[in-house]
Amino acid sequence: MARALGGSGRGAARQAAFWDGQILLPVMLLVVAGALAVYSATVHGPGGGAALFWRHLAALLVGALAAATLAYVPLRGLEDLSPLFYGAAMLLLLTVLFAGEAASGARRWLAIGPLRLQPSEPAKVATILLLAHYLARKRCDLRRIGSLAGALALIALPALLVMQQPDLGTALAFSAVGLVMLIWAGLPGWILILLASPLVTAGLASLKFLIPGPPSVRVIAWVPYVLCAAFLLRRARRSWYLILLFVLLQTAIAIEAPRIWEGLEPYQQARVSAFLYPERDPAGSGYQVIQSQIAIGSGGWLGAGFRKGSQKALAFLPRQHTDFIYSVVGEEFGFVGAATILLLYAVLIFRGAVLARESRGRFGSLVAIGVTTLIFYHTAVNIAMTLGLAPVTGLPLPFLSFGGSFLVTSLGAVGLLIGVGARRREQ
Amino acid sequence: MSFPDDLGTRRLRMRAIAGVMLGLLLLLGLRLGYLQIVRGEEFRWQARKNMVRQEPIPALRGRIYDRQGRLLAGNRVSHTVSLEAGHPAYADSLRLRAASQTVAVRLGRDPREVAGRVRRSRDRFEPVVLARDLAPQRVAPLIERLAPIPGLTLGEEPIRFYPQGRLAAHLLGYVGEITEEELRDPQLARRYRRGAARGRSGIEAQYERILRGTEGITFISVDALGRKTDLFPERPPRPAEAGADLRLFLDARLQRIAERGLEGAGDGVRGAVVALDPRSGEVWVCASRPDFDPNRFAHGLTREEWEALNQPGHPLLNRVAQAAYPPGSIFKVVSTLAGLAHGVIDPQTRLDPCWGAYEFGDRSFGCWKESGHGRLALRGAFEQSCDVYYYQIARRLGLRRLLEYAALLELDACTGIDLPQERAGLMPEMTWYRRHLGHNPPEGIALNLSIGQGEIVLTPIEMAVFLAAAVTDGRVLRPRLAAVTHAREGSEIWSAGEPEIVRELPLTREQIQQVRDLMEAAVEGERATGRRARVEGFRIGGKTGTSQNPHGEDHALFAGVAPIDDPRLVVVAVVEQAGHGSTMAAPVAQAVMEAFLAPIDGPLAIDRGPARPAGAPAGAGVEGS
Repeated sequence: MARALGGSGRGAARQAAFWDGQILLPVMLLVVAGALAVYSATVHGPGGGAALFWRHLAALLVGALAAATLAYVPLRGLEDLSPLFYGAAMLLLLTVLFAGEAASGARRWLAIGPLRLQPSEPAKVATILLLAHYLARKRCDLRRIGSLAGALALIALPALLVMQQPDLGTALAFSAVGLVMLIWAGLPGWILILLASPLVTAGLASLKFLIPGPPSVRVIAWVPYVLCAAFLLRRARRSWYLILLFVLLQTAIAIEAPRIWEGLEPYQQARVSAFLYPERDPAGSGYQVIQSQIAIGSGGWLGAGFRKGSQKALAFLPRQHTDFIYSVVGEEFGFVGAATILLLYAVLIFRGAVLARESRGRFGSLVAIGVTTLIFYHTAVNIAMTLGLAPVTGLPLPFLSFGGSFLVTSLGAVGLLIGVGARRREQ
Repeated sequence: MSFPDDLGTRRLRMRAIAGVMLGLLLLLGLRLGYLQIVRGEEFRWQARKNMVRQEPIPALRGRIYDRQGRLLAGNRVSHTVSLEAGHPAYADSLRLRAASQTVAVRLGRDPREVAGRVRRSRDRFEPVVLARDLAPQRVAPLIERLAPIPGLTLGEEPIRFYPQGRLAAHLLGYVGEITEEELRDPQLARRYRRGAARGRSGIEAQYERILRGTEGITFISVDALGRKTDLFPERPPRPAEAGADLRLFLDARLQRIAERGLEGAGDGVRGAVVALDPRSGEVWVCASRPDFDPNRFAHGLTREEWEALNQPGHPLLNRVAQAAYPPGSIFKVVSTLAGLAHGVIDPQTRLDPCWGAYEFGDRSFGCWKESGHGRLALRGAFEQSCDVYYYQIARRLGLRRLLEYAALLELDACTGIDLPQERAGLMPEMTWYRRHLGHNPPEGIALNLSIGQGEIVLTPIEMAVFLAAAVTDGRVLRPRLAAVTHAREGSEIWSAGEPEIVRELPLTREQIQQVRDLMEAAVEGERATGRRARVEGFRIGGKTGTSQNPHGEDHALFAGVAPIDDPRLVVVAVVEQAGHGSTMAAPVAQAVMEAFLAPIDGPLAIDRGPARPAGAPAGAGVEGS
């Protein structure tokens, strides 16, 4: 890192390889692990055919091409094209709402000939690019209400469209990535509090549907939170009026929030409660969480061995080549394998954050942090789900899960990261 | 300018963001270690358990024999067609629907209904039975036609079979498949699997626990879709234990005679015959009409069949224990005893002559013989069933004393016969009248009651049990249908068990003798109303009864005791809406008594010979096929 800081580092930087090893190596290892796991889950799994595996390899190839292409496009070009990408992605998201293929109650796919495209995946990258472009402008100042509203609108549009499918997990992915990019772009802390507080309050108030008990439990958690937030607002020298308004607003949300829970789709409610109480519904969505934990847990230190996972082979594992691919890894390669995978993600994410910091251009820096957050969010939510720590949201695991659109998208995003890394000295 | 262009701010933010991300990943790593290392053993065990499916082996239902060892209820092989919806060929639900429709058409079933059942079974990971009890000649063509359909199996399962057809259908009852509604009851769900048979009425329901047996279990290693795998060595199955066989005190020969006798009374006859041994309470005959074929229930009824069974005639009703009738003149036994006990008459007392009617208050109470009986003593009055004589006993006794005496006998108490849903009759008391009339009952009621009309209703079994006690030693025995069974491996021991005394009637030896004399006179007497019950070579006792029926023709009743000098059988026959007991009911009872007294197939002892009919397999086999 030292070489990147001072002027003396310029010579070394010129010699630095275009293909950043700390990005490329973990991604390649993850892709290989993913291919093995998909092979095990499809060819030797309950599906019993190689067709899915070949499709996975094909998607890998397309993804690699996308990564190479995006890595070579100059940042300037990406920035200029970003409104076009964004517009096209939003059009696709609109189209899918009307012409999409439905599966288990949600419209998520567009059928184009033999291909099935999930437009919400490329939309993530398009949103990152345009948001980076927007936030990188000299005029943009997030302390001004106009700039902030513009940025929020860019995030909210795809999130709301995806919500209509409905796909809560992906909609939250847009919000998470957008929020981190805003923070990176200098969002003042007190605005962050104002933005995040409604969600926190609503979450605490909705707990009554999940945790039975007297209301005092929830009040005990909520009151200190509001007091802390008010204190932080005061420290940021906000006026008392604003603070009073804030507290009143929070109180109103706390009272109204239970209706939000009631407004959720029944399958979403079921997923959340199945996450908290899997034993209540062992045959429904709780089944997946239980079976996934059984498969991972039975892996032990070293796992059952490649292609030898019994839970996988007997199809006790649900959606094992897509959302629950990590369970196959856990069962067949044990703690050693599964923890190595986690470590590879950690290396990749850390490197992404470093590139974001080192990038001189604001656009490149924002793209880097956006892509890093996207990969982190998917990884953390997916693995937490397979480990029984998060509800079943249907988010795939980057580089490992079968699923063309997302695999191509995540590899393309890695291409962007490499491109940004290679040009991090450019202003 | 908010963007952190200076490196110091950037480094701080980068550390915060990367720190949170890496911290969360570390948390996932800790959870991973917890699941795989700390709880690994536990999950490995659960993973193994995942893969073994327990499949029930149906237990053979215990067979039911009559007292001579004739088979009344057994089992036979039923050919079933079932479809495994979880078969790998049906990953595509369209193919599953197509397959289930093909099968439905071949079986002649409604394709929509079959497709629905198949679809629902898919989530349960167990094959769904599409057709039960296929005719054997249909099986071979089906195998040929349906062989290409994946996941389809033609299986065999035991099914309840009543070789005697409709004989004693009410007594035996029937079995039916356990319903989805019942399976929602956790108690039942623990004991019955889907598709299991459950006794629904009669002996089948009463002795369900004994007859049912215990299902066995095969352990099959399966995958998550319930498909059989050979991943693990098979665990030895736990064999099924067949239900214990049951032996009834019923005599199929007498039962058949009783049922034919009832049917002889006309088409669509309704009625009941019950016969029991007054010394032990053993029930020899328990017949009811109209009837049904219990075999029809074994593979499920169609809606039309079920509706036909719930017609106004109520074929499912066992009239022996579930229908109550005014006893008519049979009740004169009670009136006589009440008169004797209170001393208002003695056997020699001659009362006012019968001119065909008796005036009381502003009403005229008729005798059944309009020309009248003239002046009679007790014996003649009972023999000819003179109503006017009994009106006078009622007058002398008064309503209160008559009711109080009848109450002592507890005529309307449930007999405790081993049948489900026995119904009690009604012997009203003073308080009952006050509650229903709102005032003290008029004395005229006593007159009606004395000849067994009015509010009093008794079931045939209640009448039989009372008379059995009244002609023997006054001890009321619980009527019993089934012998005590001790089923052991290979051999069964039946014992009749000890008679169970429920209560004792407050009767003296002389009173019992008096009842016998009177009942003998009512059959053997010169002018006896029950002449048609006579059996050559034996002295028979009895009493006719005609019970007024507000809804139509009178019901004909007859109670017989054979032989009267040493009672071994008490018969009560009821023929609904058939007029006089003497003409319609007495011949039915006579046929039963005659067959009983002149047995044609050997001695009657129950503890005799081999328990099973010759040729039946010793183990838990399935008869026929």
